[in-house]
Amino acid sequence: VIDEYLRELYRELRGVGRRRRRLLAEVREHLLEAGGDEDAIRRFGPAKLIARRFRDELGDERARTAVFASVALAAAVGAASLLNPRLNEAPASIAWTLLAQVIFVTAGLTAARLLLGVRERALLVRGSGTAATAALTLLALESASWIALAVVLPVGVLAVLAVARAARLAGASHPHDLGDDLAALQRLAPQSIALLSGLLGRLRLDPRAHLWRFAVGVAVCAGLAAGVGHGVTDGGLPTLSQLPLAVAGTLIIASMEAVAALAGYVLLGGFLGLRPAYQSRVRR
Amino acid sequence: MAEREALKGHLDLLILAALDERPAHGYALVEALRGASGGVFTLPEGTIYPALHRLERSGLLTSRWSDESGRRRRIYELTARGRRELGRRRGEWRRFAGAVEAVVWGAA
Repeated sequence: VIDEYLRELYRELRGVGRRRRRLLAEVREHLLEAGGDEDAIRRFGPAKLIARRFRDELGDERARTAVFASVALAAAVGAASLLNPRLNEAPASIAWTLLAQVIFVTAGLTAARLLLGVRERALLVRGSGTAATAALTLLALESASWIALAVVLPVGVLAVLAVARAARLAGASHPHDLGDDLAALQRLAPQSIALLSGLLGRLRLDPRAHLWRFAVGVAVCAGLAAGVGHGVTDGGLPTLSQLPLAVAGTLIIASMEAVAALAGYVLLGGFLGLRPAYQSRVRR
Repeated sequence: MAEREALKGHLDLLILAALDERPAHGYALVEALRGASGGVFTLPEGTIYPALHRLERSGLLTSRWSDESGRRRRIYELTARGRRELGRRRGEWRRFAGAVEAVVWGAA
């Protein structure tokens, strides 16, 4: 009877890794000590329940490790990028700009969710995986120096392993959207977030009510900030006669950045839980 | 059923407190919890193992195999950090239980 139960528990514990063998040995001893009969198994609890508790506890820990590893990788790739003399060449520059944005948003969002206590494990793993993939792609495209590679690659291997191990226990994601992140923020800083929510509400940009309007607003603001930033860093503050040209240049860069931000939102928004995924909307 | 839910919420504290008495393996721990609570605390016995493994990974417990009395058992015991954590959680529990008592029975 015990062997049959242990076989079931072994099957249910897939993805747990090397701890599985030790746990099974402990369970076997426990059941023998408790009498080794049907009653001992009944008191021990269903294999599915025990396995689910174990996977839950282990999965939380692995998701946390995956987030830390991917943020470390993103930081290492960022530092290595600064050492790369080929960064200003056109194709490398475009790839750097796009991938750096993906890395910044996904790693930042995922780390923030972990710190805010948004315990949606599947989303933490997806965010970590996306940040790690983007960071490794950037590293490969840049073909940075050997020294940078030697520093970053081990971190990259660790991040990939951490994300893969966490993904095996991640489970399905529940419907989630930006509103859940705002609710977590609200618990942390009730007054300032209530102020922000009120302001967004008055501007009719509250993501819980007007998700797409909010996304477009964020994309345009990010684009304008990037455009102004480029203008200032490239040629300093413009004189009065240069102003029309500077404004035109800023608007071109801003619109490109806004389109890129919106495209990222369309492609990755559902996957990263920034908007409800298509399936969950259909189910509703 | 109400006792089972309460036990689930405070399982970590109960495990740490039971292991403060003496190091024990999983089965002995379940028996100790049942005995010390006068049979009130019963939960699926197997659910104690995920909690034990988690507490060990957090550095609050340490474990080793033992072959005493002819049986191979995994013995768990508190680490120094586990002892400090137990002290902290006992203090929290005392404040919480005192507050509940005061509300339920009144200030009299």
